Amino acid sequence: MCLLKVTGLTKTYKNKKTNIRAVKGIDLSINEGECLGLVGESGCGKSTTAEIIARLIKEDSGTIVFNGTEITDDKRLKCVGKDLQMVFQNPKDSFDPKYSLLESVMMGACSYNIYSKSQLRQKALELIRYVGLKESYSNRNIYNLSGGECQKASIARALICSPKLIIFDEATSALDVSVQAQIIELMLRLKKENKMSFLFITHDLALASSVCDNIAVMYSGRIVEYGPCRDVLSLPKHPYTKQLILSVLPVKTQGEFKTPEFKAVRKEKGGGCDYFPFCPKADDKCAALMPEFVKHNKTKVLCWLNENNEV
Amino acid sequence: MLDIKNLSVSYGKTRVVRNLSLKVNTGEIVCIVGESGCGKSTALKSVLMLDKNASISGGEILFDNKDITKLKTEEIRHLRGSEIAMIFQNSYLSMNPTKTIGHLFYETVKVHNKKAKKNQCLEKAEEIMKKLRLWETERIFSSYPFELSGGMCQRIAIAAAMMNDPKLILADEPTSALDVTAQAEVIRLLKYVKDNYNTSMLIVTHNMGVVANLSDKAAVMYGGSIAEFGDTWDIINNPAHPYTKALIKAVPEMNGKVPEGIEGLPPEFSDEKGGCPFAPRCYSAKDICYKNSPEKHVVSKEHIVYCNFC
Repeated sequence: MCLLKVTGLTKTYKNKKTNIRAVKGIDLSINEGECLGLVGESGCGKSTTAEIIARLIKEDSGTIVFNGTEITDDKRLKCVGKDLQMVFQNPKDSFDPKYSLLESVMMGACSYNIYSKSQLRQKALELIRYVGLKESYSNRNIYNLSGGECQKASIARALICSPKLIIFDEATSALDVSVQAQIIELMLRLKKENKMSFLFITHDLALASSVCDNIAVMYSGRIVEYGPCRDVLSLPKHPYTKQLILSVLPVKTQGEFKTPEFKAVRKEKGGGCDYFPFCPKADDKCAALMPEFVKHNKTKVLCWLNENNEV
Repeated sequence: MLDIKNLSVSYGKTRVVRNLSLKVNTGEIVCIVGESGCGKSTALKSVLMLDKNASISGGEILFDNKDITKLKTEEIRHLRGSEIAMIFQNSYLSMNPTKTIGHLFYETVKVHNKKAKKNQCLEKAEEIMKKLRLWETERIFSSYPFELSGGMCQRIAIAAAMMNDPKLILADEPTSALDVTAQAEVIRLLKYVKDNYNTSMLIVTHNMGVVANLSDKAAVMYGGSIAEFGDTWDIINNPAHPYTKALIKAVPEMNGKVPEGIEGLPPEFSDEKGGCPFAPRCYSAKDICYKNSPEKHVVSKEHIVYCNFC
């Protein structure tokens, strides 16, 4: 069953001087119990997309259907809140420093009236244990927890009203590898046991490969490649995806490592493809016309070069 | 070049770095890797005495055969930025937001040489930046740090660090705040600097990819002391310490396998017990590990492990 469907989402940040087109038309969908990875460089519009879906900012156009209801109206927050939760990159900034761990986790459900007071407390303690924190921590101040513990606490807070979808906005980027792996294990457990869905935003492709079913590669406000994780990462079609995969630093290779070379092509920007100025294979058509999605098995690619399976 | 011997650093009464010994030779990149809170940044900062709250409670830091711990504040200040340069995790936070990048380059030189002329400094900066493949120098010089992207600021920080031709560069998580493409670019730059200027580097990171692709030698740190030290390829391909093994297993790969986390939490520094700091999380720990500090074992030439069972 389709849980989230986003069509034609756009967003422009308006300034006195400039208009920044952060998101230029995004279509994506997440089924129940599925994890979609949204990957791309900093500044490609990943977080803007997530914030629009979580209703933290308002879109310019486009529709979002979540759990059967359209949530793009102004009254949207109520229907979203309980079922759609978000985990942020810097967990410490997303907590109120005045409260203890237990209170902070309980606060996740305080505006929905789902539990009685004692139930809520019990549920919170249960979740604190579930995410891998010690119960003795529950009276500690959030400020005294380490980054990884804090991130686990924010997952517990997101879980307290048993949501259907959790958005992880670079939630693992600030953590070191061993804690990262713990969070991934937790996500996989939630997916299996509770059929929970995730939108996992990251710039770490290796991490995305271990948890995501589908993956969407974003570049400059558009999705350039979208398909099953394994297909996209093992056989990338779009030149940008290839470049992105090349720049992942491998750990276990034998012999001398070759640092990825970036051909600084930098042609003049035309009216066509966004990636045209950097694309090593671009031709005149790319400069002139905006590409359209081409389907390859289950993957769709936004690139002219793929039309005849050239790449 | 740099020889750290039995260094201990404390915050108040808590010993955060415990008997750390490390050597960096000329033209060599050494990476310190470990989890957050294992004391790696503290160790790095103590080389230049950057942390006012930390006090060195034992050991010595020899740089060019001078003991830095015994130098006066003035003398250390002279070392900073001229012979030993530092690159931070968030470079744009370490730059003055009210001054342009051009001024930053000028100031870097002027601090150590009052007669420096701005034109000459900028010429030199331009030369370095061209070598590091940073184009649009005019625009960069006239912009403020907050107008540039994180990756750009990090590359500028590397260029600025090279202004006084330092012998040693210290870098604290230079790539952790960057995305993969910018990360690859910074790694390329640091390698270029090492190959062309013969600069030594001591780099702190938690990213195993950075260690594998950049460093000549790696030091794995746990609970304030070194767990394993040796040639990078040796450490990654034949890790000896249980912690190193677990750390390498926790690195996600592109093949869709689920990385394995390390059970338990990193040790707290407040209660200093005897024995191996990794023992509570170690799968092969025995009683002796809780009692005695691990002994030094030499696996092969330049590959040292501190573990009782290696």
